[in-house]
Amino acid sequence: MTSLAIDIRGLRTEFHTHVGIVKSVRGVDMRIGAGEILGLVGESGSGKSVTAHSIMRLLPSIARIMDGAILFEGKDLVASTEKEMREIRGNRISMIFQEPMTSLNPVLRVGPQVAEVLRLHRGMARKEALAFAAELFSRVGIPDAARRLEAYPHEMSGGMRQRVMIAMALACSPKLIIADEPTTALDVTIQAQILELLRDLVANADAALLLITHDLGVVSETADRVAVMYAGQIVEMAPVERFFSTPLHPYSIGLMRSVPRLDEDEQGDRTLYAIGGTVPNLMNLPRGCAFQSRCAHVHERCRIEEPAMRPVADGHEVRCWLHDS
Amino acid sequence: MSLILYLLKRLLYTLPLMAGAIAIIFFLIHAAPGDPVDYLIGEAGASQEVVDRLRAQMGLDRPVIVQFGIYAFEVLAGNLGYSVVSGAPVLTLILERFPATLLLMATQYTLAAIIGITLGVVSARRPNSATDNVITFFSLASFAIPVFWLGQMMILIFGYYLDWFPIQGMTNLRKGYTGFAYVLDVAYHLTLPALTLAIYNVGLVLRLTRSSVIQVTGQDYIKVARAKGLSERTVLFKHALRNALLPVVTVIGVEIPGLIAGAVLAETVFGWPGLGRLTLDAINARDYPLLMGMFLFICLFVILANLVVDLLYAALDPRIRYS
Repeated sequence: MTSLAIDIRGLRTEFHTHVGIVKSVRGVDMRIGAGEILGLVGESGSGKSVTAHSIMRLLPSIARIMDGAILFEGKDLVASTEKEMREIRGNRISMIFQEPMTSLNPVLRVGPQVAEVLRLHRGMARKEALAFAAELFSRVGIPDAARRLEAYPHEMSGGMRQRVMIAMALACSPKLIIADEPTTALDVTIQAQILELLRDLVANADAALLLITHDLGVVSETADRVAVMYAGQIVEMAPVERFFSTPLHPYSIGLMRSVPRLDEDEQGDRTLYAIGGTVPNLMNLPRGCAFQSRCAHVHERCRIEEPAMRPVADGHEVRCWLHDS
Repeated sequence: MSLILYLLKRLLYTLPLMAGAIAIIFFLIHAAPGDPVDYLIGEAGASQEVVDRLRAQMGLDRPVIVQFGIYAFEVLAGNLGYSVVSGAPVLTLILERFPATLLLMATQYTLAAIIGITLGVVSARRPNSATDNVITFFSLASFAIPVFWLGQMMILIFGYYLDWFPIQGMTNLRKGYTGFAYVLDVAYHLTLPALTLAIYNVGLVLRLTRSSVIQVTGQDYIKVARAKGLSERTVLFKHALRNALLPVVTVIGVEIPGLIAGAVLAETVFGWPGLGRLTLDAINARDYPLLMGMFLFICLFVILANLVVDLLYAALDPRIRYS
């Protein structure tokens, strides 16, 4: 990890709703190296997507970045103007969304939708952009690429549409690609193909990838490093092998135990493990650790003081009083 | 190819539709009290002998079902009959007046669509902002005001007090303009009636565009468009509007019969020499052949207009298949 693709420091994003302030992202520090794949894991509402949308500065109008810096190519994206952001979006940082079925404009042909990015950021002429789009299509494994440019989204399958989205994201050779649950809506075989494709393309293009998912299987197969998010904070970050061999945070351990396994002892207790309790209300968080109400190892200190991220080994950090040495 | 097949099929559907229309319209009109003879004779009255002779001339003495048979055959032969009041062929009368109505309707509806869609998009950009509230108030008011009252107020304010526009008619008969001066003169006379009808129709288009744009801007592909780095204007007009217009186009099509009803009112108020006034006069005179011809013409017009709307819809939305 010699150079950094992006360096996020102390990011705080809040939603100001009429019933109160929702603290969705509460001080996220995250660095992704050039060409690295970081898997960001967490359950719904943990702040994964809000973090991603904060990077793109594509938050809804009621959301605000309250604090922190997002350093990217020598600029702080938090302080950038809308015009500067428009030059970065789709160009230096691109995004792949969860729903391939609804992410493409249904009334426009897919070719021009991909070409649009090239015309905007690369200043290509219509024909040139379409020719390049065809090249991108074959790169992402869309058969009969030149002819498929003419297709409308409804004429393609979910997997093909997600390939189109990936082609769009790759178009301007971005430095960072954010993939927000890119395979969640796809069936398992297509999921594997898309993940493999993403991994290969990212390696070839030397782009960094922020892979957001709630699926630990996806992370273990694809990512170099894992960050676990809980209630708006990163609670554990580690290289992928280390994370799966020695998870430290009680939440990470719980997540791992709740994945069904095929090789489990058939005689033993076959009930699937679940983490008890529910996610705390982000409008009204308890004092101390956010995970205290669901943690089996909770003790006095957890209810008084909030733990900070502490390094425990090379590249392995955890936010837990149990590992505060 | 499928487009031509679709068109043929749709045109074929119009045949039973028109046949049904002929029957319904014929019996409805003949069920209405009074007949043209009363109108021709007037209040002075006439002897029973004269009345009987007139009725026989018009074929009104025969059973209604026979009258219907005769009429249906004549229509199929392309003959809409003659006006009992003026004696002129019905088709000639209609075609004479049709351009004036078409001009008024096309102008006002184009105006209403442009104003309605633009204000709707502006309104939807920031829902519940001050701008949105003002536009919403205007749209509800425009929808609630009756056309005939609005028309009279427009005449009173812009025609009478301010004296900016003519009060009546389509041309200045005394000047007898020709060429481009004539076009300008018609446009000048067109302003008030077209504006009146447009104001009335803006409300619906505006409200519909607003809610449709708001709904569409919540869609994933709009998020994607923003993530591409496109400007808000491109996102709104290239990606959102075309999708948002689909329901608007549908409603515009459905509203076309209502347009004609509106035209009857506006043409009467503004003395516009179109089909609306011809219809009104024909109703008052119980001019059966003319009335029948008018209604049939309106039916055909509505059917064809809806066909155009369906084609437009398919052009906007590639997911619609001609089948």
